[in-house]
Amino acid sequence: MTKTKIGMWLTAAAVWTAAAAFPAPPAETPTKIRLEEVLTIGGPDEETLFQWTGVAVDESGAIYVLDALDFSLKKFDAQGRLLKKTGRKGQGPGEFSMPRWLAVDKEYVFASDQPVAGLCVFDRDLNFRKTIRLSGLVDALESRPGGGVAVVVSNFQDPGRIVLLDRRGEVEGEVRYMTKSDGPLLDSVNIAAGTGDVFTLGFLFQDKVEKWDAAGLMSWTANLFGGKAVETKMIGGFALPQDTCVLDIAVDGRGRTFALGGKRAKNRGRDVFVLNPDGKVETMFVLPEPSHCLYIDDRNFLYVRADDGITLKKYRMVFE
Amino acid sequence: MRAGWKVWPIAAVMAFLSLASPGQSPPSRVDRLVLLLIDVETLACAPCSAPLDELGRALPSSVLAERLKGILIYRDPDLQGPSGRRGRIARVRWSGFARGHEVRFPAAFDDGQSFQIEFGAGFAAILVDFEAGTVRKIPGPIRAREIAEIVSFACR
Repeated sequence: MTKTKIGMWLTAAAVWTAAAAFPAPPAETPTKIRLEEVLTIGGPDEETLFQWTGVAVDESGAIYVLDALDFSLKKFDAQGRLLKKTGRKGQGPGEFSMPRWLAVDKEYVFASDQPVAGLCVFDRDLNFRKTIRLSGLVDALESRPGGGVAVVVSNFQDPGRIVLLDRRGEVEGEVRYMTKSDGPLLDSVNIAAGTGDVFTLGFLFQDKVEKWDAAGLMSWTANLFGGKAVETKMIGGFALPQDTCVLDIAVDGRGRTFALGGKRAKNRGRDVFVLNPDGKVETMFVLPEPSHCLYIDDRNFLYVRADDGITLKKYRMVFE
Repeated sequence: MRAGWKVWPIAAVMAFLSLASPGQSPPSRVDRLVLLLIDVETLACAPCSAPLDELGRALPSSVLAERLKGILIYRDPDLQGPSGRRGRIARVRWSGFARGHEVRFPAAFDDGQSFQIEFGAGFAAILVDFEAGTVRKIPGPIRAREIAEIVSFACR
């Protein structure tokens, strides 16, 4: 079983506006963060979202959502009205078999499909434009502030690679956050981009959050749960990690990192740790419901899951 | 009715179907029936649901419509049924799955939690032969061999 197959298996078993301007959070250290719900998409009383996986928001507040149950990519306006839907089950252009990650820049929407070594590219009206081929499966995806995307490419022989693509899908550079993995899946990360092509990585199976720049230099590394190594269990001849640490990660407009705790956290999928731009844990808060995903748009609104994935919630974060 | 993997008399199957599909007649004219016990909470697990797609491809539409019945199982600790939160979430989730996978067999929700089984992964099956008066249970995980057995039974 290759690392990528293990990753697919684990991922599968397990198997994601108010137009008013949001006041910038205060610069001082917040002691408490309170969530105010501003928008709900989907829910138990409507057939809008079925098991959403990826979310991305453009500068107008339009919300793009990937759904793993109806194999769709949907676009909602800032008030949560469905504008368009595309995609279906399959392996052809614009089709999905296990849609997962999503990113949007000023021109395109980039979507990953877990068994596919590449990205599906749509314009922002959800017309399929092209497929970008990559050398491995996509572990994580994030838009870059200047356009294009940063893609964590999964490859057992060659772990720890972030490929930087420009808007046309051409490779612009590469960041190495690991050159050798001590075991299967230990290079699995989520990624969040900050201003100036810096990336924060949250490790799924290691108690680590790290900040890197596009030149391949690490600014800091932080632990959220004491730094203890994750226990492993031999499955099929592989020592597979048993606990998840960071399920997802996001960065706000102030450069603060928000890390969603996994099994290691007291409240799995609900505890959110807030790190300052220097990597120090400032505070934390607890989501109302477990989420697999944490997304912050450029107005600092927070998007998370509810109702086991049939609901997307948008919150204003109030720093107190 | 909380039978688990205990003996499942045909009368119990018929009773469930009449309760789970109000307004529809139990399949009295059908000589055999495949009950697919589907864990709604694992629908997004592609490897778990892949055998359902295989069955859909392997069986003709008429057989799917007449001899297959999905029993959709979800966790509902408070037994709130179809109007409760868990029941409504399960319905939304199945709706998306049925659209995405172009499901062609009828299905009913096990709101009363009649079926308490270990799935293995994704779903299990019960083969009911009304003529012979037999019930055969196929626990999950459903793999190629089990699919072949289901297809053979349904098409016989």
